[in-house]
Amino acid sequence: MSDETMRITLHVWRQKGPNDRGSLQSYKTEANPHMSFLEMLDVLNEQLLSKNEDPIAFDHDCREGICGMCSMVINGRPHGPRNATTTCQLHMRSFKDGDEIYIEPWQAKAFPIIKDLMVDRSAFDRVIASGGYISVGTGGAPDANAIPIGKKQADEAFDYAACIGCGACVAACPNASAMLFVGAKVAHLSKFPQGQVERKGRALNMVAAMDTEGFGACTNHGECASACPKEIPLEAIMVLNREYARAQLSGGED
Amino acid sequence: MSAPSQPAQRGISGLMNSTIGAKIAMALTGFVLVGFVVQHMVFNLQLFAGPEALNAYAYNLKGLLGGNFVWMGRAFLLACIVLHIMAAMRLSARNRAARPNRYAAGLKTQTTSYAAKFMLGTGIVTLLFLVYHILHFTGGVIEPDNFHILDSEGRHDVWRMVVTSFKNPVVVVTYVVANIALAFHLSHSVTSMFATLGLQSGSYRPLIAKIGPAVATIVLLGNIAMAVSVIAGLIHI
Repeated sequence: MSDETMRITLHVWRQKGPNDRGSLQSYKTEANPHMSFLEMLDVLNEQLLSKNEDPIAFDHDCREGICGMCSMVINGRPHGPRNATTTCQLHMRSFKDGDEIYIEPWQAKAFPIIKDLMVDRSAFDRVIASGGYISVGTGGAPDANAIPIGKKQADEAFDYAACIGCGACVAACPNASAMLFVGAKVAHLSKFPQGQVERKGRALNMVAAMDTEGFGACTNHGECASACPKEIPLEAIMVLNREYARAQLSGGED
Repeated sequence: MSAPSQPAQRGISGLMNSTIGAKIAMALTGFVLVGFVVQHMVFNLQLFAGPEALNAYAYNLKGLLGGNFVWMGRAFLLACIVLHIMAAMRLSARNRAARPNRYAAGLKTQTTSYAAKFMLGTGIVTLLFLVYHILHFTGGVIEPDNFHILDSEGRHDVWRMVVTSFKNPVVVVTYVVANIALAFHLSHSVTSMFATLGLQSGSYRPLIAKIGPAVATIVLLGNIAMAVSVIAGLIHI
């Protein structure tokens, strides 16, 4: 890999606040191929600050691919061109010298834009609060293996639990649907013995919360799973459909 | 431990007021409609068996349950079509509202097929064709001269009606174009139907993914074979 400096043209969505119209603004910058995508934006922001210009607001936190904060659509794909990679784990070596890169925030009614590339994803928090948990009686710490869980169940549940709630599925969906996210949470908890007690209420409440937040419906295009940086399988949606129908048709009482 | 409080609406009404419920309504009505389309194609292939087979089939079908069977079937299918369209309108309005602002530079889709992308358009073409088709071969409004003819046994001469109609290139093009739209619609929707009902999972996934395109291809080839065979001169009066 070359260490040579890359000249990049960025087209970045700038929006002063939730009610501003917003538009794409162009910037020329230089980057080192070893930089992460966010470091490239950090450098650009330093340049903007030194010119007394407003830096580009973007979300980031852990920068190690597990917190789900770095939400941006890069060249038409949430988290950029690499599969199973969050924006913070994307490096400039995935681009070429002279490239033009378009950067936009997640676009969904349920994720209002706060500023520039930052969106408010608290809709996901409210969906989780509606049923994405198990209730545990407090007291002495139980033995670690007091409730046996089969290897297959544990593996499947873990695959769904890998969801970091970044919202790429919503961003990629033609209908801004949250079915993959909700499916991952419902599938994760319904695979465990501890998740059985609240199983039906969870499916009903999380779907009701998802609908209330204004997310769209699934049309089975599969864009969500292909955009997911944690490779949550599309099957999460089939599990959610099953869990929901089962809960509705059996009267919903846990 | 107490279960979380649950939404007020449950059962069938709760199901129909949610996005997933509306999808289930689309899937179940779609199942009925695709079932009708497949049997319609299969029985109509009796066109190749000649006038006796097709006319006798049509005569017997119309006589089932003292003539009530076809009307019960029509009422049931109409109800399914109305529900299917209502669910589609509700869902597509909701889906558009879920993303009020488009991406300025657009999304690069990775997995969306053409069939999936144009579901609404192919659905509308299919509906318009359905109206035309009923006015044509069921109501006899479009070509009344072909319609009001009886065979030697005094039965409605379905075979002659269809064969005469398909000698007209405009009619053949209409049927072929409409069936291509229908095939695109089925290609996405039949697989999607299984997914919505939660049945596309585990080791069945690859098989279910092929069901839509397979059903679409079979229906397309079966249906256009009739129109094309007539205009190509393979079937003649």
